[in-house]
Amino acid sequence: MNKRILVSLLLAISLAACSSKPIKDTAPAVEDKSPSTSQTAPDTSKNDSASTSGMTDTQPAINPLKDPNNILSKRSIYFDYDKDEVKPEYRALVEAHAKYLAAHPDAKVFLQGNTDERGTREYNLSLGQRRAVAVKKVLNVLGVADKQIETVSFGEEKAKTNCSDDACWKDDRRVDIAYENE
Amino acid sequence: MIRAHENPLALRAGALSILVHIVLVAILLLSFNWKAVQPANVAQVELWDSLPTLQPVIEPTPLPPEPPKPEPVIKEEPKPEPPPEPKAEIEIKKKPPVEVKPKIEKPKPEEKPKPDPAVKAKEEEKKRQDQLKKLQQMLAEEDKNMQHEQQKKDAQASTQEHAAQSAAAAKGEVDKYIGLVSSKIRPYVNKQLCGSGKPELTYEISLLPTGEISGSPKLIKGSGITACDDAVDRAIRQANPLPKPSAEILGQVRDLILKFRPNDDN
Amino acid sequence: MIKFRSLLISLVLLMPFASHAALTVEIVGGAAQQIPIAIVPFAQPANQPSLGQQDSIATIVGADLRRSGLFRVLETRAAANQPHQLDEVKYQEWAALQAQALTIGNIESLPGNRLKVSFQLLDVLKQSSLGGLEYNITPAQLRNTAHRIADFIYQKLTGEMGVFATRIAYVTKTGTRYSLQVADADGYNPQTVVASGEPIISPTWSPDGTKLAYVSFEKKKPVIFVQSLVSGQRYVLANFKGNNSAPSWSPDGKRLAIVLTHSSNSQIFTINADGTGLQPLTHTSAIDTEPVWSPDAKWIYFTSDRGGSPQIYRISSAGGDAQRITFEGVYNVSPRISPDGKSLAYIRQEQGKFRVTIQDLASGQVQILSDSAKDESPSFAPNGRLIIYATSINGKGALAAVSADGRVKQRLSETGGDVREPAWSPAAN
Repeated sequence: MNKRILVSLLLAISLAACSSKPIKDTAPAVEDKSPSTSQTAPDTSKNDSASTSGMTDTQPAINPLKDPNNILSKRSIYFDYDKDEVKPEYRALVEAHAKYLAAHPDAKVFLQGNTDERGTREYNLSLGQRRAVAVKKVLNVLGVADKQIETVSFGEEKAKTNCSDDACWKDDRRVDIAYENE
Repeated sequence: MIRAHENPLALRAGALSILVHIVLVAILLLSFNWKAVQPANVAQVELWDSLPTLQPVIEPTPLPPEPPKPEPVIKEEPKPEPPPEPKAEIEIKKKPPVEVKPKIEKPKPEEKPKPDPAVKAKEEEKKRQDQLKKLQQMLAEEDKNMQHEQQKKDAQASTQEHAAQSAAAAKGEVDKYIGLVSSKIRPYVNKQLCGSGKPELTYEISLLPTGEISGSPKLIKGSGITACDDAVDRAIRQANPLPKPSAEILGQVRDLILKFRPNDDN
Repeated sequence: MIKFRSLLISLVLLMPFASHAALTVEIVGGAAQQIPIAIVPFAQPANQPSLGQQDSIATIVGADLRRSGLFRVLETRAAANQPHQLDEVKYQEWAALQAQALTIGNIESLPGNRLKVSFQLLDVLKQSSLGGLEYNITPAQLRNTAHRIADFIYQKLTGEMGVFATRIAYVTKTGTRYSLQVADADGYNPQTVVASGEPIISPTWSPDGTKLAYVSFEKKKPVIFVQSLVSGQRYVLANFKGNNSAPSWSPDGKRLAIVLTHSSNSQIFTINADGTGLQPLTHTSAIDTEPVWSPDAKWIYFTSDRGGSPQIYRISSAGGDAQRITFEGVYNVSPRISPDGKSLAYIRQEQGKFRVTIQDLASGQVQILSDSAKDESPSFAPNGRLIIYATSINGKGALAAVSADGRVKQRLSETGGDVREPAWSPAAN
């Protein structure tokens, strides 16, 4: 028994840490093959504090995306059960982000769809995706191009487990707006 | 084959051989008949003109009426005793000494009518001798003869009834035995190995008079699933020995065809 | 003359048969039973102290057979007769213990630190041998050899292929750590394939059992990897814009069906195993996901909500129109085809409970197999008899298995983290 754990540990460690091994276990590593067509945006948006933003010049460069007084720091849109319509109460939030993206053509957002834990993982991945697409469509209508948006889904992978009622589940039914290089 | 014109003795030899054959056939038929159907007849024939003696023969047997035969007393014992559960069977098999006791009790009521037929036979002989002496009473005697004949017919009718009842009784016994065999083997049939369809398979077995299976079960028609055929073979072996058949039906149940439908309900 | 005599002869000869016509006994039904089997501990070489009681071949074989639900493994240590060779077997004694089958064997030392393992399977009722095998192995292969012996016994007595020497892949979550592991079918010898701080889902075996395709979120989005279990090397199969998920190998191992989203809803594609040759298969604005190939490669079964609720459909692997397969209930997802292509397992949700369900594809007959509430990710054993799936026990993710007819249920225990996403390997070869 101990031997087994030890062996497993050793294997895990060897898999995890070594840079010489071809397998990496964490972090966005560069892989051998990447047929992906989406490219990472240039890094200029990384330091988009005061320099390129349209915010006031009187303050030191606070990233509006991170400013708790700024609606842009709010990133989550919540959904009703089995629904993927963006509710009116989140219009203002979406509009704010749409404006930001229009003003920063190099900025890119990931719309991350999520579901509560009920159901199977792959189907929930698709349901989360549907919500992300719903938010994207609103952004499109507000003038944001698809090249600044990537819709992805985590399905139920980030959901709270062992919920027993909707008070718990409702927080999981959301789309998160995540800016690239954050 | 011998041709007649070649050998003058051929005809005689042929006739003798035919005669022998007929004798053999006759013996065979006689033995068959006696075994299977109307053994009662043989015993009954002596009694048919003594009605009162017949009745006590019928009554004492609570089971299908089988008038006293020399040995069959033994067979009546297993019938009421073994319930159709294999467990009970096993218990009975394991305790043969216990069986002996009830046997002793049963022959007693049977033995009563037995002396009577012998006594009656002697009485009849006396009557006939008296008739020969009393020629003057011919009319009266003729009347008596007529009475006797009437009694003969009545007796014969009831004899035939008996024969029919015995045949039915014998068949009832056989059916009962078949039921015992089926219910003993069935619980051992591992139908989990017979797939999800409705397979059918057939084995043949031969029984010894003890109920033990002689040799190995023989697969006549397989189910198409080897594991199922094997499972049923094991079930038959586990059920061995089968209930001991009575001597009366042994001839009929000596060879059995076992047809299995393990996944069916009825 | 001659004819007459023959006739008489035949009459005479036939008489016995006429008087002894064999009666027919109908035996309808039976009992669902377990085969009682005795496994005598194998004779061991004196100089092998490492072969302890826990890991002895007889113990492993017995555990395998017992776990299948079809066998009752008898205790043999107390038996007076402890045979290791055929001529030492006292059948009567084993019959008295109610055994129907008996396994005897030997382990002998070979030069070069190798072992010779030999065994025989005996029919106690027929008092004959059903066969046996011999292996030349290293001590490290002892467990696997025991599983192969269990496979042999299982196959001889049930007629079905045994799966005791197969493996299971699954994902464990401990804290915030996710680990894709591969273990023996009995849960022993878990090996980590890949570990990450982000979720891993949907592992699936290549048909030759040497590779796993899986979905990893290590890039902050779902990406499909293919990893060799032999070399440990892996590559990205698909990282298109949007999601990349639900990989499923074609029966010949040359292509995979996958699910991409690009900028809209999940749709099914096929792609070469090297990541080239992407081709769309479905073309709807609904959700089409969870593709699986039929064993004859003609069909791809999948989940779709194009009809308003998630149901299972199938489409020709060459493309075309889809046909609906499930018609009962309002939520049927995660299709899996049995190895013989005749049955479909999936997850049905009814009144909030998610349960493993099986459907006969020819008749349409449906049977719910489990009675729990949070079943997911069903996976057929390569003999089609067992289905492993993820469920929740006492609030923690655990693995369970149920037989395709619902009669046998197993719980696979795992200490430590939350276990999910099981996938049964192909048959061992």
